[in-house]
Amino acid sequence: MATAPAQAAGGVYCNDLSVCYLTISVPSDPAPNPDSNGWTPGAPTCYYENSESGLLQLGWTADEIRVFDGGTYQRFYAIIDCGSSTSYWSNVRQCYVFMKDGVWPARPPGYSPEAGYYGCIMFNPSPGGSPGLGQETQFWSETVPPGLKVLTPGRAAAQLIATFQLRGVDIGMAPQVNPAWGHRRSYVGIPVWLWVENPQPLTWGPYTETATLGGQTITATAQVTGIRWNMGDGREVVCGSTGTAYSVGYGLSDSPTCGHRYDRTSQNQPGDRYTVTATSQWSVTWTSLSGASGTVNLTTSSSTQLEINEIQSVNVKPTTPNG
Amino acid sequence: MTSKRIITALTAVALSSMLLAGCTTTNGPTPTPSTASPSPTATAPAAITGEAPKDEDEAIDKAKATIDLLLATQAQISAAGGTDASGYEAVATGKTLKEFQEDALRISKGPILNVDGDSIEGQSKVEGSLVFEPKTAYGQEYEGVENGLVIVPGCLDGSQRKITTADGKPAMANPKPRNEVEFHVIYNAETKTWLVNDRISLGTTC
Repeated sequence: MATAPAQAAGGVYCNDLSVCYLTISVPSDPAPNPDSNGWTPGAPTCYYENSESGLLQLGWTADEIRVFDGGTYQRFYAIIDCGSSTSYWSNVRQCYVFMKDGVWPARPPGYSPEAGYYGCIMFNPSPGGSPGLGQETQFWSETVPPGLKVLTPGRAAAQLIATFQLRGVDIGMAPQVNPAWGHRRSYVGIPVWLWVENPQPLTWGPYTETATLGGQTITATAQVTGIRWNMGDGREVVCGSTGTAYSVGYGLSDSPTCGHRYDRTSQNQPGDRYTVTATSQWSVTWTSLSGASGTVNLTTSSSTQLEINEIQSVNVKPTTPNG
Repeated sequence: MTSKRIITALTAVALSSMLLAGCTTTNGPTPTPSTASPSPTATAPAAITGEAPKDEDEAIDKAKATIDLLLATQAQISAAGGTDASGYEAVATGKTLKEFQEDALRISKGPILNVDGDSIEGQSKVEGSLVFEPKTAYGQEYEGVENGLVIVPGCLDGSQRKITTADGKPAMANPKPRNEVEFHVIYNAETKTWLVNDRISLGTTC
């Protein structure tokens, strides 16, 4: 039996009889180095451990068996099929690992919502491998085990939500756009009414989609919880509803739900216009078939231009918030 | 078996990766604290026994105590020179039993790399013990017993286990002594005993 050499360089060991050995440890999983599994550089290789006689009995030939020589003991490994991106062999666990379908149990304390719940199943060992037989255990992991191409519920939800074509609201405002001027115009001290014009699922919600991504079936629903109106004069108005659309019957009153009054003109603004920006605060809640759930906050925005003048004191035509 | 490829491992690498990480739990009953100074003579440890767990909390307590006992047993066996590893049978099974028996064999006979990188045959001296810091724990059904398998992830710290090789020099130390591991502890319904049966190295430090 070979003894451990005294010196090592670059993973190759040579003793004083000019016999060289590869340096190894017991085979590990590819992480944290995805290019090596601890035994062989390059693509990860999957190893099944058993006794020497056990491996021979199961059909491997002597040439296919690798030996870890610990000096006072030996371990025997045979190369096996690594499996697929949904069920991949783990050298350290000695089982095929896969993300669990169905409802997951309550997440143990200490794990983040990003943690996944995985199965670990032994196999009917043979040179080709045959996953799906034998005792199964389950474990939680913060990271996706090496070799698996699956998504945790949180990652899958993020990917689904990223496809949502949410957009800013269609701004409803009194004053409305005057066709003759081509823009909105109002006056210092006159109420400005703000509302969401024609709210749609993609501008106000609820907007719901269900998709299966990376093995996770996710349902996500987006809903605006409020709008932050930046009026361009340094002030903001936060409204938790779509607001109230103005009609002439309201006269010169303030909006009961969402409005503003300017106290100075827009003459010092670029182009003599205030830029009014409506930022929608979206809350996107998601659930997965596994039972995991969460909330993602997003914003969208839209804007319009508004000219604010002063009312002259002589012969002023009666005005309304609509300009 | 002459055509078989033989690959030899550095003993210190193997030792550090396999067993230099051990730890002590701080929760649950601890029949023999693993941080206690081990007796120079290996004594048979008391096993963690009892009826099948009533619930997950009880199973977790028993599992943590079993890990503590395993590490305390290792400290005792190592301090006694590693010549009698029979004590492990009361607290470990399967892959873990094999690994800890191999550790004892290595302590008793070598070879172990010393601080100079020389591979030293012969009996080493060991002081201190591994320390395990559980991060969490959870149970699951195992061979018909509810919560008969408890998985205990945590940090295994090997920095307090000091080995002196047979030439009187300190053993080569693992440059990464704190590693994330996952202990698997099972309940044997026949013997009504809790046993550590696996220790998964998660490949990350802590």
